[in-house]
Amino acid sequence: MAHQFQVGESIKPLRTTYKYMSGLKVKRPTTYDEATYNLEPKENFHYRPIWNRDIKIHDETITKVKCEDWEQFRDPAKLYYATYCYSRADFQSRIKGQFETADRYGLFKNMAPSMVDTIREFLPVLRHVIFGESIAYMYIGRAAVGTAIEQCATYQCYDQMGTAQLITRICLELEEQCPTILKDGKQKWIEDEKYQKLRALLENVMVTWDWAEAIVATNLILDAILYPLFFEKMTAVAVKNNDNVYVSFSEFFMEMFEYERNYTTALVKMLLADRPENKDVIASYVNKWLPLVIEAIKPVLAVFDLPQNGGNGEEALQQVIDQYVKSLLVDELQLITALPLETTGEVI
Amino acid sequence: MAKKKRGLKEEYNLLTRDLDWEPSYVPFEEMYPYVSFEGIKIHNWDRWEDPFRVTVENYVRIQAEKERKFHAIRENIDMMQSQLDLTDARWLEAMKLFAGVAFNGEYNAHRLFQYVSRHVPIPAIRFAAFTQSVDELRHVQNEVLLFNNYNKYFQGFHSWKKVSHRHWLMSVIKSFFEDAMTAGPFEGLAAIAFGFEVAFTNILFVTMGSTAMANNDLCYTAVGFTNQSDESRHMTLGMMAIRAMLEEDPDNAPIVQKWLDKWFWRSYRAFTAIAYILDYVAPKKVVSWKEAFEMYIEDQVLNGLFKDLEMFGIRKPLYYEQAIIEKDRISHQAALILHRVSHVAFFHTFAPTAEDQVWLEEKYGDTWRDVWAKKWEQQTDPNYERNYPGLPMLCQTCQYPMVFAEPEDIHKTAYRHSEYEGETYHFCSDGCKTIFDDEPDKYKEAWIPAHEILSGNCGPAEDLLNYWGIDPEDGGDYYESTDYKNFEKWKKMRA
Amino acid sequence: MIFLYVYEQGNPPALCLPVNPEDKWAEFKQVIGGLYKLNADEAKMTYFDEPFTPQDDRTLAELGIKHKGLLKIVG
Repeated sequence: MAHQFQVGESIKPLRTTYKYMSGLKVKRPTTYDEATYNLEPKENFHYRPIWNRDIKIHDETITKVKCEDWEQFRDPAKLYYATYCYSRADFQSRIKGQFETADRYGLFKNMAPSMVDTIREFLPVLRHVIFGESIAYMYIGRAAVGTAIEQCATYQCYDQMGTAQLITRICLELEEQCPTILKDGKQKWIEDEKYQKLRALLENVMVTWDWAEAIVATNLILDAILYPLFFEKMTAVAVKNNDNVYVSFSEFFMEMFEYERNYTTALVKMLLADRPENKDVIASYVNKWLPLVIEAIKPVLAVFDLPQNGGNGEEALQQVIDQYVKSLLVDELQLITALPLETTGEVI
Repeated sequence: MAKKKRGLKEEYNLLTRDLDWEPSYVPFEEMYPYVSFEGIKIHNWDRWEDPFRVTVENYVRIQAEKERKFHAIRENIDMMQSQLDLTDARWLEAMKLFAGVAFNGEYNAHRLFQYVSRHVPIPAIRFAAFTQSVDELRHVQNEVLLFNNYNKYFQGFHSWKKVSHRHWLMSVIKSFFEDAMTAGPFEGLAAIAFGFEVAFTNILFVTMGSTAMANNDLCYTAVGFTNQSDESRHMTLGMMAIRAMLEEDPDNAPIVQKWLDKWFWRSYRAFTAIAYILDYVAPKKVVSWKEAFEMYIEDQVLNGLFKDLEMFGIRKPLYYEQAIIEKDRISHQAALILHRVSHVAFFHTFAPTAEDQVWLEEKYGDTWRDVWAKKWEQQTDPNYERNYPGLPMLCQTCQYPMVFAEPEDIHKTAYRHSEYEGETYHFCSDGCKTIFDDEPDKYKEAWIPAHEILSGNCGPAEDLLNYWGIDPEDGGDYYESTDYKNFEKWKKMRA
Repeated sequence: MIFLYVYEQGNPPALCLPVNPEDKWAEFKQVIGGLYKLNADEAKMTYFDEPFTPQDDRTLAELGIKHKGLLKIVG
C-alpha cells in the first residue's frame, strides 16, 4: 500500500529515551542518567555465589544501611565513562605539564635537602596506603548496590591506582637525591613503628565487608584527615623549605579527594533522607573509625615536627579535623553531636 | 644530570606490583578468603606480568581519545537518521537480541572483574582485571547510549532491562553470566577472559561486525570497532591467566581442564543466537554460521589455541565433536522455534524468504534440502498452528528450549536427565548434563522461566507481556510489523 | 500441581504442562489430544524411554507420572 505523503511531514521519533528512565526522579534525564540508571540487575538471580552462599549476586543486606531505591543516587560530578575519561585525561595532561615545568626549571633536582628529607618520610609510604584503599574499593565496587554508587566506587578505585602511580613518579624524580626512596618507603610501611597502626587500620579497612562502612571509614574519615594533612598542611611546610614543586603537585591529590568526598556526602545525605534509622548506623561507623584513624595517624605527625619544618603536628591534625571532619560530620550532616575526641578528652 | 636509567619493565613494576605488600595484621586467608578453595596452586604471585603495561595515565588518555571519536559518531548517527540507511530494518531484529543479551552481559562482566581483581592477589592480573572491569562499564554505557538511536524509531529496545532480566528466552544469557559471577575468582577469570573472550570474541566481532557493515548498520559497526580495541587486551589477559595457572603447578591442569570443558560448552551454546542472526536475520548475508564455526572455532580455537595448550596436558574441550556435528543444525533449530514464539518475543520473527532460502541451500546443501527446507515447508503451511501453544521445556543448564538433536540422529530430539536429591533435571545435551552433574547444588537453583511462570512467580498469566517489558507491537511477524511499515515509509519520505 | 513435559516426536521442543497428578488419564488425554490434534487412544507413548500404557480410570500418579516427568508421543 502506497503511503500518501503530506506536505511538511517529517520523520518523527516514536520516543526519546528508554521507558524505564521514567523511574528516575529527575526532570529531564541527562546523558549521565541514561548511561547510568538501572543497569544493575535486581531480580531473578539464578545461582548463589559458591564463595558465599549466604548472599545473592547483588545483595542489599551486605550493608547495615538501608534504602528504598538505591538507583536514585546521582553522582554530583555526573561522571559516566566518557566524561570520566575526558576529566582524567585532562587531569593527566595537567600533571604532565607540571612534570615538564618541574623538569625545565630543575625543581625536583634543586629541591632543598631539608624538603627531600621531609618528603621521603611520608610520601613513599602514602603510596601503599592509597594502593591499599584501591583494593578496598575493588571490593566496594562489587558489593555496593545501585549502579551510580558502584560506578563512583569504580572510578575512585581507578583514581587511587592512578594516585599511587603519581606518588611513585614523584618519588622517582627524587631518586637522585635519595636513591632508595621507594625501597625505604616500603620498608617504613612494613616495619617502621610509626606506620604500623596505620597499616593495621588499613588492612582492617580492606576486610570491612560492610561496604557502606568502608566508604565512610575511608572517604569521610581516613582520607578526610590524610589528604588535607599531607596535601594541604604540608604545603605550608614546603613553603617554609623554599619549595614550590610539592605545592604545585598537591592540588592534584586534593582534587581526587574532593571527588570522593563529594559523592560520599551526597550518598550519606540520600541515606539520611531515606530513613531515620540510617543515622544511627552511619554514626556507629563514625564512632568506630574516627578514634582508630586519629590514633593511627598521630605517630605519623612526627614529620611536621622535624627541625626544618618547625611545625606542630598535633595542631595541624586538630585544624584538619575541625575543617574537614567536624564541619561535615557534626555541622553539615549532624551525624554526631561531638567528635569522640572532644567527648573523651583523649583518644589514645 | 641524567635521571636514573631504568628499563620500562622495571619502571612498570614500581608503578604496579611494588605497591602491593603482604598483609600481617590481618591473616592472609582473611584478606584473600576465596583464593584457595578452588584448588588452584600459585607458588610465585609476582612472576606474572601484564603484557600491555597499562598505567592509569596512558589508559585514560587513550580511552578519552577513543571516546571522543565514538561519541562524535554516535551523535552523527542520530542526527543523520542513519537507521534509514539499513539494507532492511529486519537487521534490527538481530540488534534487539544483541541489546537483550549484551547490555546485561557487559554490565555483569564489569561487576565480575571487580571481584576477580579484588580476590586474585597476582599483581599483574589484578590491575589488568580491574582495567577490564572499567572497560566493560564503558561497553554497556556506550551500547545503551548508542542503541537509543534505534529505540527512538523502532520497537523492541524500549525496555531492554526488563527483557534481559525477566524474559523467558533471556535467561539463557542471564544464567551464563551469573554462572561466572557465582564462581570462584579463578574460574570467573577463566570463564570470561578465556572461555568467552579468547575463544569466542572473534566470531562475535568479526563475523557479526562484517555482517552489520554489509547491512549498513553504523551503530553496531561503531560499537564493535571501539569495543574490539579493548577486547585485544582482555584476550591477552585471558591467555596470560590460563598460562599462569597451568605453568605454576601441574596439579592445576585438571581443574583448568574442567573449566575449559564447561565454559567452551556454555559459550558455544550461548552462541546459538549468533548462528541464528548470521543465517536468518541478516537481510544481506556475509558468512554462514557453519563457515564461521569452521574458521573461528575449528581452525583457530580447537586446532590452534588448544594445540598450544597441549604441552600443559590440556586436551580439546569435552564434546567438541558434538559442536562440530551440530554446525549445520543449530541456526535452523533456533530459527524454527523462534518463528513459533514471536507472540511472546520482544523481537519479530519470520520465515526465510525465497531469497534467504537460495542462500541457505547454497550454504547448507544436503542438510538444507533433506531436513530444514522440509521443516520450513511444514511450518509455513497455512494449516499449521504457528504460535507455540504453551511454555517450552528448557534445558536446566543452558536454558535453551529443548530443540537440539541427538548427535548421531538429526531427526531425534536429544534428551538427557539426572536425578538429584529426588528431583529430575533435564538437559539438551551431554555437555549440559555433565556441567550439572559436576555441580548439582549450584545448577539446581537455576531460575527456569517456564517453571517460575507456572508457579506464579511472574505475575498473572494475562499480564506476562507487561512483566517481560513487551508491547503488543514488539512481537509478531516482521513483515506485518509497524517496524517494517515505518521503515518502508520513512525510506520513501527521505528519498 | 506437578510439571509434566510432553514431547511429540519430530516436533520439538516439548511442552511444559502444569498437571494435577490426581487427574484421571481420561481427562488428561483430552488435553494432549487437543494440543497435538491426535487421538490419544491410538498414540504410542513412552514415559522417558520406557513403554507407557495408560488406562482411562487411573490417575497420572498411579500411572507412574512424577514431577518433571517426560511423556513422549512416539507414533
